[in-house]
Amino acid sequence: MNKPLVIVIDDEQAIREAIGSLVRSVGLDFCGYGSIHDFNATVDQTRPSCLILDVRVNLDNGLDFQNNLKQLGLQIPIIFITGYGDIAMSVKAMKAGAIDFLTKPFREQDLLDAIMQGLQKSQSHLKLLQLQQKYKQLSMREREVMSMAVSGLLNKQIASELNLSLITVKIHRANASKKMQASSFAELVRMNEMLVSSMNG
Amino acid sequence: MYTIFNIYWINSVKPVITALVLIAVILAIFFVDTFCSINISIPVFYIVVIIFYSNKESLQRVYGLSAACMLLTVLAFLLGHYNNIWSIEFAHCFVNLVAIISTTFLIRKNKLKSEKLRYSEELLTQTQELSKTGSIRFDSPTKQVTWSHETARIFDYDLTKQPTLACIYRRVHRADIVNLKEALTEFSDESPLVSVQFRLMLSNDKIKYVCMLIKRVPLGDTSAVYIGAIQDITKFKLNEFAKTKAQSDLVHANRVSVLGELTTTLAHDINQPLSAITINSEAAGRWLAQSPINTHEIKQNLLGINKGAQKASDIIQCIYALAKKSPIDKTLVPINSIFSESFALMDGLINKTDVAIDYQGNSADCTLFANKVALQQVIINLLLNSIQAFKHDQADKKISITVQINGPNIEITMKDNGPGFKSDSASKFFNAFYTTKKNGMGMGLTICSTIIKDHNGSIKIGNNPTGGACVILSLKAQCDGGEVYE
Repeated sequence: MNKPLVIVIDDEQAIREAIGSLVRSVGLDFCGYGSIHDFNATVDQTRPSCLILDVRVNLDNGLDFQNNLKQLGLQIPIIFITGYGDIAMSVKAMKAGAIDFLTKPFREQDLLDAIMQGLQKSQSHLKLLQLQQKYKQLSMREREVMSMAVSGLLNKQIASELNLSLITVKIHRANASKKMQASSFAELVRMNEMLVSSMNG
Repeated sequence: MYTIFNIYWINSVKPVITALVLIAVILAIFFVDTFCSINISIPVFYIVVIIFYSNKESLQRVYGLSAACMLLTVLAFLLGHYNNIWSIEFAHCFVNLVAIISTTFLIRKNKLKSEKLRYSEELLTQTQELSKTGSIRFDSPTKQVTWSHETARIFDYDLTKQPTLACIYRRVHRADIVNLKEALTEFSDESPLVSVQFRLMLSNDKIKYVCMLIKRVPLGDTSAVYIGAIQDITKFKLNEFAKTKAQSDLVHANRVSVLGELTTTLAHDINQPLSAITINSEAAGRWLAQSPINTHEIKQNLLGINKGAQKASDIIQCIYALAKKSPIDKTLVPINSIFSESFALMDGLINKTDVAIDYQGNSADCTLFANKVALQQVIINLLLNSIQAFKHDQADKKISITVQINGPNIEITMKDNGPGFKSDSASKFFNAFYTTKKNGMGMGLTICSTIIKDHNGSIKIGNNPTGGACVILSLKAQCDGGEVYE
């Protein structure tokens, strides 16, 4: 997997450079933009990334940008930083799913913690995306067999339920396991749980 | 005891004795006139007595004495020559009477004249005292100084003191002696009048401010007389100082209140570089803990710390300059620096309120002779007014500022696209305590106009034809190339 990427959008160059150095010092990639316009809203879906966003960049509102990204369906964890944080603003940002809302000057550990949390979230999001990709490759039968198997039914119970022969069920089950790249049945159960919760969520 | 006796002597005993002596003398003359046959005109002595008497006494008494003397002269004549009235003695008597009458008449004339003189002198002294103006005269060849009572009082000398140039210079404040001497050399045929202001240092460490007007009146080729009027202007000066101080206090109060309005955003402006410093130092710590050490990154961190500290210090410098109670002294200031430093202070507020500022500076960076902080105060006041006038939800808030050279003037035009001024209020803006703001004091524009006036400039306020407010400041420029506009 690629190195995780941290993106900073802040009109203050000094802040961008400082955060950049901090991020590189913990072994992460860094990319900085002076305005929302410069950051052309493309998110690299192959590696975990996290966005550090000033609430006010030049004349643009960071909170509006957060909503825009959401509407575009671009999932990237956002950490807000601001010079004048008021409670209403932070509540709005957190409700819209921000990782954290930091008021300048903040402790670097708080920022790093938030970055780690964001990257973790991004990573699990990427994992989920991959799972969904893999799940899409399953045939209808394989999906049926898989959901019944992970709910605890034995192969023969599944066979009788679906009016299939035992051997067919076994083949479907093996295929599903292979396509989902699960190393054990327990992992397949976990994957299924993630998929189900993401669908419900 | 002696004093009481003295007063008693002067008030009651002396006039009686004087009167007795007078009567005795007159009677003596009368007896000599009547009974001795000396061949001179005795009544002439009456005239001597009358002249002596008239020196101290009022005109009425002189009339009385003259009448008595005439009566005695006639009586002496009648007593001596009652049997031979129409003799040569009659002619003598007649001449004597005429002499007494004409003497009395002359005394009367003289007395009225001197009375008038004394009256006008008294009037002069009193008006001099009233107007605190004294007169002084200096004869250049003889070096003789004469002065009026008021002048002596102004210089804090006894009235009986004989004035000299030295005793005048002794009173002049040490710091002003050079000024005074310099002014006294400025006489010329074209301008025989010199006016000079200086301070007097009196014996009790009291300082007096005086203004002196001196006229040179030439006498012949080399000598001249100097006539001066000196006025005590201490009260006026102190009032003036108090007024200046009150005004500068007011201006300072406005500066502090302006800073108050900027406080929250200024805190933000200082927080920015402080954040950069904190993050840089933490990052440097992390880089140092790694091996091999990445010196490039650490160098960048240190550079960032340096820049941040510099920026914070710059902002604090601006705040300090604005908050400090400084005298209103003027220096040559480049016009663009007034704006850049005002913007530095207002950066946070401008950002927070989403106002775009379009500053078209003066490319030649013209300088003007001004008090930088005071002009910054004007700019900040005007910008604050503009920013606070915008409706909160207005999109595309914009303030455009242009600096242009217009003849000898620098013309600064500030326009915004806000709601502008209500047309009926235009004349009241510069009145103290007039405000359209909810929590306004109504002092901002009043003080701006005071400051601009103090810089010999003008301020005009109105609306743009396209809407929004427009303020035009006009100030005297001092462009480079040695061309100084006065």
